Amino acid sequence: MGFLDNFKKVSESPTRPKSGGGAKRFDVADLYKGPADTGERVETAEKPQLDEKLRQAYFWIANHAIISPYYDIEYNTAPAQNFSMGDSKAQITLPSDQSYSSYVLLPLLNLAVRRRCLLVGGPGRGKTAIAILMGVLSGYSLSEIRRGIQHGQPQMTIADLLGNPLPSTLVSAQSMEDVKIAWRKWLGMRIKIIDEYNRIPTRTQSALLTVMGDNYAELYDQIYECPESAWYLTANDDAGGGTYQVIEALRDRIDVVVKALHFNTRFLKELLMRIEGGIQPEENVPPQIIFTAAELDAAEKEIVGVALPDELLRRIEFFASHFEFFESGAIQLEYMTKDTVKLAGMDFQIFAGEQTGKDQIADLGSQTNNGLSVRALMTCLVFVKAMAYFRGAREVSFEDIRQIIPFVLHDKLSINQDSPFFEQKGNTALRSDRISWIRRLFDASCKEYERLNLDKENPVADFEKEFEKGLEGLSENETRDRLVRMERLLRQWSKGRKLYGHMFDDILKVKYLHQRYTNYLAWLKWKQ
Amino acid sequence: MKPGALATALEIGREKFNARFASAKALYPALDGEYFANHLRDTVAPAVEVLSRIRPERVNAVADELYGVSLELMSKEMLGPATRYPEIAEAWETLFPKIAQLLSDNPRLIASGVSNAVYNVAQDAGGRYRAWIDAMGRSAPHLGDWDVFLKAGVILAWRLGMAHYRESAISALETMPDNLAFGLLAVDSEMTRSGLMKALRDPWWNPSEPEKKRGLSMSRRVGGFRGFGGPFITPPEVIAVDGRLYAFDAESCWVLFADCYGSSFKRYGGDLPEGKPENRKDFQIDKAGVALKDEATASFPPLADWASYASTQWTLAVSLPQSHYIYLVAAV
Repeated sequence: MGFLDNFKKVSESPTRPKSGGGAKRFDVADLYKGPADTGERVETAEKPQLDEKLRQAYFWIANHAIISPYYDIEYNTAPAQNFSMGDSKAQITLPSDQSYSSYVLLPLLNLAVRRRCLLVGGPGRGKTAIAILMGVLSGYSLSEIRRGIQHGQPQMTIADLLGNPLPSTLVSAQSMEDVKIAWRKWLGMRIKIIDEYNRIPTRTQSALLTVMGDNYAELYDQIYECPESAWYLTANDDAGGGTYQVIEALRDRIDVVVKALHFNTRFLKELLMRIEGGIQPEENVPPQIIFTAAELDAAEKEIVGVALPDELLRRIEFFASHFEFFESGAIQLEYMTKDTVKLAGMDFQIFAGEQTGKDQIADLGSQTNNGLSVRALMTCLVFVKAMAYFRGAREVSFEDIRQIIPFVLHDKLSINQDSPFFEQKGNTALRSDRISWIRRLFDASCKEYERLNLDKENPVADFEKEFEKGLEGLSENETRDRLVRMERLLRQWSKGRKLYGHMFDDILKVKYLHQRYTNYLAWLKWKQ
Repeated sequence: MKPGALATALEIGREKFNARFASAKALYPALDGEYFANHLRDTVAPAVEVLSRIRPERVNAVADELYGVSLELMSKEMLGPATRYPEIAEAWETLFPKIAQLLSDNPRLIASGVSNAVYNVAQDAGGRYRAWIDAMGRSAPHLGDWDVFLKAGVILAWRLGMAHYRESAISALETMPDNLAFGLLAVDSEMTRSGLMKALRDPWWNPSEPEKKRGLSMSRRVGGFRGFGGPFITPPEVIAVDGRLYAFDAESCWVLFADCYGSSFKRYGGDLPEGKPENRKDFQIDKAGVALKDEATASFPPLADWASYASTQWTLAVSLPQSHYIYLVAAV
């Protein structure tokens, strides 16, 4: 057993033990499991579950391949121990449950749900290395993956990215349909890696956008349909810099952003051993953790099947409702959004004098320049499910949401640097530390949710439940009763002096329901 | 090192073997070259020597695998001077020469599997691991191939008191020819195969006492205080869920396995098993200690004023308020 053998070792199952393991039927192989590695031949006939395989892949990468000793996705089963360090009272937490390094975990979750992951960080921090590892985990050979990487550079043309028309057909073609295109091979791969995407010229970025957003490529009226893929993009600068400004639509297609943290010099010995052993992690991925296309399909289906309890969904709704509302931006309630102001090409500062006296620090919406798009919310839901699945759960927990949301919304929430919130003592660092900022936003939102006692007193949710039962057979009296109750609720709310984002969405939902009942009532009358 | 089959094989791959040791040493600085050489000479060489006489063409491959397993186990201090598990080296020395033929078929699996098995048997059954090594050595010539050898190992471990292997062992017996199945269980060969399998449904049916009188009897006392080597930190209670017995104290829950050969606890976790307890379905016991099952009754005064009891079809488990032990009453 040498360094290489140890390097190829996969964590033994279960990687996340739970109660109940002792009641299983004992297998012949159990007697022969122990400290000595018997190879694969005495493994039981049962294949590991896909979530277990994902965890084994995670632990192999975290323990052997990528030196990322950062457990920044923290879970606790008991109160964690906290220590304050330095004048700034920096908190160090020792989690009491299995915790993870976002830099390894999120690319892996992205592989399972086949979305688009941006890896940002300084040069030489392993961004491309982890993207390549994901390719190898998907069953591609190292040479296939290396050939498939698109290296962003200022001279990159659309032809470099997508392919070329075959010269012979170009000469002989009578129409555009006759032109045959030699499509680039990477378009057909299930893993797509774009290295330094912010060095791609703007025009080529637009072609990339079509592939990323709509999953097809177009040249000379010819269409190439790409398979469902997991995307990995790298950038040295996540602020949109680089050689070319990244077009906003392309940035918006990024589903999750992961930061490559610095190299911890305490792990230099690991590097030395790799040099001495001539070890390249991507060349030594254990076959047990390589996924087939069918396994990845199945994992994605299982992830989508993870349940999200109503009470947690309600918290996500409440959190998301804070950001779009902008009271001074319009007269009609429906248009009181930040989008209205942006579409008008105006600066938010122009409306500063129109402030309504709301507490700008308590109003979470004041910290952002935008609201959350449908795409961002869908991505949140998919990734929180993936997080729960990865931990072997079949239902999302509160902590799954709290841990994942900052990475998904990293580039989705545009920070309002002028917000008075950031002038508060201790909040300056949140201008640059977006992960902590978004996590604090979520915590503050949950605190407000609890203060308003919305788990128990939630009249809009009650209206929703009534409505979801359907209108069929609903009597005129009952319909009128519901309409009156909605009007009464709005009257009650109108007595309050301040209007916040979460109320904005609630009011519009009540209006929507009121309108549906009003139409139904009109239909009932006509029927009579 | 003495010249011999192993020495020759090592000499052929000298550079490769030296490199493997050097890279293992880089990871595990405590690895000692001298002790490793002693291990190769005293423990590995005898088996390879036997092999060189019966299957010389497999010597190099087997030496390669045994070298790798040795290095792995010595790195983990499962072999060598600092080991707390001398049973592994003992198995290598005494058993491997007897199973050289089987080793040659699948050297890594057999070498690692036997090492793990003897470690597990020693953990669960203490010094009885020697009986397991002896029995495996005696049975080996009759076992044919390595798959049967591994199954026989489970049956023998079960017979040594590792009751949690009962189900696996019975499954293994079903796949074996009659003479081997009867031999491994030491059963009277006049019994039919179907009769044997039927009799094995009763966990208290002992093949060495097949005609024992039927009734309720105190079978044994199991468990104990953790400070004295038992599993429990406080006096345990028992429950039965889904045909299994469980015991739990203030901290943890264990599955309790028991039959005519012995008993064992396997940790279940911090929570109780899911499902509705069915403690009193098969046996009852009153506060005076009188147990009842079907038509049979028996009095067990020490079990009076029990704290909890639970039963399966064959076994009644009783815990007492002031004891860390669990008392098993069997319908035998």
